[in-house]
Amino acid sequence: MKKGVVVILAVAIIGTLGIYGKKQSSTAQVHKTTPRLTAKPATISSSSPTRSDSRYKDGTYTGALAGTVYGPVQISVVISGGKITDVNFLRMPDDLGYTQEVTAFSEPLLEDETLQKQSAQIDFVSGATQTSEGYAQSLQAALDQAA
Amino acid sequence: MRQVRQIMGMPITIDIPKAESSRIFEAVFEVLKQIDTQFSTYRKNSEVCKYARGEIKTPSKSLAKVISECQEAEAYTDGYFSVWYNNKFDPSGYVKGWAIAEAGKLIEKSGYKTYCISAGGDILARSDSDKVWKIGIQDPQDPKQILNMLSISNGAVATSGNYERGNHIYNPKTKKPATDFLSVTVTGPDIIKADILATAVLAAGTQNLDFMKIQKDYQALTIIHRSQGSNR
Repeated sequence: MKKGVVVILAVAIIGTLGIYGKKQSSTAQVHKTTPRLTAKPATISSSSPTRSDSRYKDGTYTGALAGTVYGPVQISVVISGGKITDVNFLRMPDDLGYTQEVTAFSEPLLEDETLQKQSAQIDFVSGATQTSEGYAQSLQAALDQAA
Repeated sequence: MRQVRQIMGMPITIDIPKAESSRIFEAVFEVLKQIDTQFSTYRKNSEVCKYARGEIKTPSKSLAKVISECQEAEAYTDGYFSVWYNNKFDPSGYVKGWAIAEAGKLIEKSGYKTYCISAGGDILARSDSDKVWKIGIQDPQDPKQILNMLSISNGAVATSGNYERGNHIYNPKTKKPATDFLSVTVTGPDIIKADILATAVLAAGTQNLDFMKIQKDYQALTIIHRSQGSNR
């Protein structure tokens, strides 16, 4: 199976869709089968903590079709009461081997380059039970050493 | 300051930016070691093992609380989170999140409100400063790669999956390994609940997620291998 950076498809923060990136050769449809995405929970901040949702006027916004690493993506976002209340993926890209299904996940999709830049800033990695045996080779260990 | 210890069979990393000595870290690691002594399923004389063998009539207050919380978790996950499997009692899936929460309580009690704890890939992040914790989500198929990054001031991230060696999650109803998802990451306010939901979503598979859809403050990201095809 093809290897590469696989990016989680997620709800975009409205205003900018947060979707950029270069196209790859494989494009296909991924079916979004989950119900509409809910607004972000208050306890998890976006990467711009000072941004307030209330500057967005109520209404439905459809983003331009944008290229991502995995194909074109278009997102429609509904603003109600100044908050995101509904998000629909109108088209979702396929990927290099994973089908990504989002039941509700509100972080912007990062372009490959941004992801690489930002990954230099990561503090911690969340993954399935990372064991003591695997630790030495892990990304977390590298982060811990660099901290 | 950041320190790591291997406890409970997993790496536990604690980052407290304002800490100036090891003291708080030693205290927290000590609490985690005590939890391990009491709850480890690998220590024959742990309270959990004794309880599982039926040697204890009255569990300690903390074990009783864990048991009752697990019963509640089984209920709100439609049975997909269960610490009773094949008549064996193993609350490890609950204890991990709970241990992180206890560690967090001690850190806050000691006066630090900005910190981040990772235990075996489950994370609790807190900030009352402008510190925003950057949490990467591990690629299920490449531990050195991350798929995306979360920026969290206050919240929990729990990931469950079948891709680490020896870590198999079963669907408690079919008794078969849960293979619909390669990995599940849940975010939300509470680490214990996020951990439970991540485990339950993985175990339940794609067709049985009504219990997750009604969890308003929690979100799940699931990753499926493409070759498994469409399963709606």
